[in-house]
Parts: sequence; C-alpha cells; structure tokens
Amino acid sequence: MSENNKINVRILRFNPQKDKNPCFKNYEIKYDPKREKLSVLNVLDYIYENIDSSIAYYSSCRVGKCGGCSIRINSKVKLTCTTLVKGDLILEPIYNSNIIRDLIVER
Amino acid sequence: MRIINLLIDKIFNTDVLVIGSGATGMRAAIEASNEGVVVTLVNKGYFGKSGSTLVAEADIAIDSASAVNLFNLPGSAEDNPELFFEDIIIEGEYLNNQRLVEIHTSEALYRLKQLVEWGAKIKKLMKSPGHRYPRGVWISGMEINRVLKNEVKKRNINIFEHLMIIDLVIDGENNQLLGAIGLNLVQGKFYLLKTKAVILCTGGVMRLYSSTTAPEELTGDGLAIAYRAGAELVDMEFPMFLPYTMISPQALKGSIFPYDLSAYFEVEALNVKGERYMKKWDPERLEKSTRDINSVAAAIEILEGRGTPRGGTYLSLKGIKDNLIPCSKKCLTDIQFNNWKYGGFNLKELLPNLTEQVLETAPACHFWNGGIKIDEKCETNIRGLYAAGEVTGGIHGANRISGNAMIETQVWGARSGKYAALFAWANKYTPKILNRRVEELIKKYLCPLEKKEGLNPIEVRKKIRKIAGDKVGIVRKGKLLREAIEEIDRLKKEMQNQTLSFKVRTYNKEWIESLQNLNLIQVLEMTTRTSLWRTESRGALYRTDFPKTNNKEWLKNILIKNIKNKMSLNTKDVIITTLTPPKTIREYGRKR
Repeated sequence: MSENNKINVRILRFNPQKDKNPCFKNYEIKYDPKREKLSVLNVLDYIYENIDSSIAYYSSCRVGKCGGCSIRINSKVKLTCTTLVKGDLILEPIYNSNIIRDLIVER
Repeated sequence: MRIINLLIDKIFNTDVLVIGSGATGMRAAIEASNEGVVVTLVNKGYFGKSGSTLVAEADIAIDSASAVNLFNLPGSAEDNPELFFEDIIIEGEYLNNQRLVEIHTSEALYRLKQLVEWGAKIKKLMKSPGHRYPRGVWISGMEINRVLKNEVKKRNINIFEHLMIIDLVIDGENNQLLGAIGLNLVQGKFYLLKTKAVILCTGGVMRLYSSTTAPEELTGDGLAIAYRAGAELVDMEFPMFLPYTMISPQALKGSIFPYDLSAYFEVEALNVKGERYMKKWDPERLEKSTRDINSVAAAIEILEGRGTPRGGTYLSLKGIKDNLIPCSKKCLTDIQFNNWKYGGFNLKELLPNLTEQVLETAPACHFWNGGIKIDEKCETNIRGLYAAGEVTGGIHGANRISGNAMIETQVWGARSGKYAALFAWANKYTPKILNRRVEELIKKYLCPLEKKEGLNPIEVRKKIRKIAGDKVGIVRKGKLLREAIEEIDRLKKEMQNQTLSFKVRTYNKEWIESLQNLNLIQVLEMTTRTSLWRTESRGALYRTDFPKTNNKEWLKNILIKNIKNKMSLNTKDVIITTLTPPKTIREYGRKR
C-alpha cells in the first residue's frame, strides 16, 4: 500500500512495432487518497502530461457512459474514468491480444 | 502522382462522407443510405463509444400537444409547433434564423416518432427552463445511441473508426468539394477519401475550455476544417455554458450532477456571503432561469470576489435534504439515490455527506450555439459540403434551450442526409484531386513528427485553454479580448513548430493533440474576434463593458469567412419570418 503519500502505478507498456514482449513500467505518483479523490483516468492524464507523454490510452466521455476507457485495473476489467484510486495500481490493456500500443487494443 | 503515393497510404471512394458518428452523423448516414447512395461514416474515436450524444441527459423537445397525441404523455393540448417556435426565438434572443427554426419545430415530432418506431424507449415528459409547456420527452443519450447504431448496422454503410479528418480538399476555382484527408490514429496512416458530398457532424469545441461537460473529441475539428475550406460560419461568439457543474473532487470535475439536482428539486444558488444572487438577474425564475443567465450570474459572483475558495458558487441542497431519497422517483436522470450512484460514479465514496452538504459548483462549457452557416437543405456556401447538428449555427441563436440539441440531431441529421444524397445522385463532377495541395497538407501534419525543436502539443493546448479561460470566458470585456487576439496571433506563429517528444505514429496522443490544437486555436480566434465585434450583451455572451442587450443595433448575426488566409468578419440582419423582435435596449437577464 501507499507510503509517504505516494502510490506506485505499474503500467503494461507495449509497442508491437518495436518491442518483443509487453513489459511493465513503474511510475511513482504523489497522492494521498485520504485527502484527494482521483480517478484512474486522472492518474493516467497526470502521467501523460507530466511524466511520460508516450503512453497510449483511450478516453472519451469521462463519466462512465461510453465504455471506451475500459482496461484491467488491478486484474479487474473496469472503466478508468469512474474507478477511484485507493492505493497502488497495476494497469493492463483489456485483453492481452490485439494490442495496438500500451493500453489500446483493437476491438 | 508519385509523391502523393508516398504520403497517402490509402485512397477510398464514396458518394457521401459523413464525418462524426454521434446522433447527428448516424441519422445523416441512415437517411443518405435510404436514398441509395454509397455512404461512409467516419469517427475520430471508437464507433458508438464517442461523441456528445452518449453523455446527454437527454430531453428531446417537441411541442407539448404532439407529446400527448403521439405518445400519450402528460403534456398540454394548448401547445403547438408555433408556440414552440416562439419560445426558441425569444430565449435565443432573436438571433435565430427563423426559417430554420420553422422547419425545426414542424419536423421535430416526425423525427422523434421515427426514433420511437426504431425502438427508443421514452421515460417521461419534463418541463425545462425556457419552455412554456412540458416539451422534453426523456430518452437517455445512451438509448438514442443504441437505437441509431442498430439502424446504421442494418444498412450497408461503411464505417471507419479512429479516422480523424484533418482537412477537406476543395476545388477553389469551382467552389466545389472534392474529398477529405484523414489520419487513421491507430495506424498512423493517411487516407484520401474521394467523395461527391461531405456532411460535417462533428459537434462543438467545448474542449477549448478546461471546464467542460463534453467528451474529449469535441475539439472543433469540423468548424475549423470548414473554415479552412472557405465555408461561412455564424454566431461564433456564443459558446454555451451549463451552470452548476462539479469542481471538486477532481474525479467528478465537470459532472452535471448538481445541475440535474437544480432541474428537479428546489435548490438555492448562493455566493460566499450566503446571498441568493439569482434574485438580481431573474427574480421570478431564479435558479430555474435559462442556463445562459445562470452561468453569467455565477461567473460575475466569482469575478467580483464573492465566489468560493475553489472558484465557484454554492448550491444549497437544504431544501431537499430531508427527502432526497424518496424524491428519487421523480428523477428522470440516472441519479440512483437508493444506492447512491450517479452514472458510473459511486457517490458514497465521492460525496459521503451529500444530504448535509452544499455543493461547490461552477459553470462549464456545454454546447456551441454558433457554427457553420447552412440553408434549409443543410448546404453550405461550398458545393457538396453539408453540415448538421451542433457544428452548425442558426437554430439556437444566442442561447439554446433544453431539449433542442437532441431533436436538432434528428431533424437536421435526416435533412442533411437526404439532400447530400440527392446532390450526390445529381452530381456528375468527377473528383480530380490536385496532387500538390494534398501533398502540402500532409507534409504540414507530419511536421511535428519530424521537427526536433519546437513547442510540445500538451503545452500548446494548455496555453490555448488559458487564453480561452482567462480572456474569452463566460464574462468578457474589450480590453481582455484585444489582449487575447494578440496572444493568439503570437501563439499561432509559435505553433507552426510543434514537436513531439516521442516520434511514433501509432496512437500518439501528442500527435493527435498537435492536430487538434490547430483547430482549437482557429475556433478560439473566431470566438474572440466576434465577441469583440459585438458591443452588447446577449444570451451566452456577456460583456462587462457593454452590459445591455441592444436590439436597436444588434439584431444582426456576425459571419466569419476565411478570405485569402485572413479571418474576415461581416454582419447581416437576422432572418425574420413571423416573430418581429422588439426594438428596445434593455438590461441583460430576464427575457420575457
């Protein structure tokens, strides 16, 4: 679990054009779930905007309706926009096959 | 031809190309397909998982008597399409194109009937601000999306997902549309689509503002594409804001949950001193006034230092707290109070003390009243270029009333599909695409992938939003607008050198943003220049330096057109058929 108001976010990264296999990359984020309330999508946006803009993920409506942002969050298929972050995260694409890049799959 | 083949990965032919697959785009594609032409529907996101339709808490407006006659809903027999027409014009502050609104109100019932025949389930009828009678037939946006998707799938319609159209190809000499260039965001490949007609159904540009209720695709692509192609735009000074959206916690930012509460329950909007500020603006309707006035009122409280610490106003739920749960039956939206859910959000976690709380809220950009100028057949000033839905201007004037966005998708989607198809049938013009023009355009869009130095697209987007939020927000004034124009000019030059930190072509979010930024800034410039030009306050535009609504001088629409790469503005008298506006100068606020 989180320590010192920080959480670890492990994201399965894969660029089929370059990489042989998908590989986890670790990001450390400052976040205290007791004081703030962030969704997984907020965290992905934070990583994209501030740490690593090469990360590929999809989001559209941001209110739990379009379903486009579903990925596996800590092994369960969920929407990134409505899932609250309560501690460390493991983020993987919804399937292991047909990965276009990172968290985006062909469907 | 040799060079083109290097840059263009795929060439595709169609009769009618529909850009955008929300309710308007799908309705347009269905109607065009019914006319027997080859229809291709393209979309920037996943098909059926993107666009504004899905997030609509959708009341679909038709005249109340038809709601009784057609669907046996508890409407009023006293209403008729003419009264519906009058309310749209009065609340749109007389800037509407009355010829279009006549069609809108007389065809609304047939288009809704069609939707219900296709299987859309009606929940209830509601009366919304600005309507004299209950006209809002409630069908959720997700339900509309489901029904239209079914109908699209029944037909032989080509669908391309993740295809962002980045420009139209025009034969300037003959003012004729030839095709469109698209980028497949997933493959990073360029498509050239040769077509006889295009229907733009791409919606608004709400993502120009950091506070918005709209999905992420809404970056004004269609507006900017049309502008660059030489189409005329109208009423661009009227971005619409929705009052009472969440500003905190961040996960709920932009949620329309408080607005929903304000629509169904007795709530009080308060400034930090506890004053019910709507008394100043619309003493009878108060929070039930139209959304333009509610938003302007809140923005002024915030601007004048009476806002909350987070930069909003309070929405007191005191009036409903004791009976919030039993009341939930009255609710038409997807607020499920029994298990404390709103949409996909768990309110137990997000707002644990909801019933005791006041919510901190602020207006967020919700809709785009203006847009591409069309005629009764949805045709623009370019032959073969059609537009429908939110991307167009003219139906809503200076302010849209509730329920008119969704019915607009159906009335105008259907019309555009029909007339674009008829045009394609009659059009013998064989598209001959000019090699050099396409090559130049693609090179320009590839630039950020090749340039080593320049601005990062994320930073550019932030800069654009900062100008929009700080200087071209709900409440505007001449000095700030002039500053904004200078900043836009500067940023436009800097933006010619956008560069990506990661040069991969497949679903590169930075690359997508670099292309969207070109559209965002173009629309921001339109809104800034037209806002400065209009020296009065009306509907969704409030100017502190010109706070009155001036019907003596400003019963005019401002038109914008790209003439030799210069944004040129023009005014024209509003189009009036039956409802003559009063020639008065009056205080901003209550309209009746």
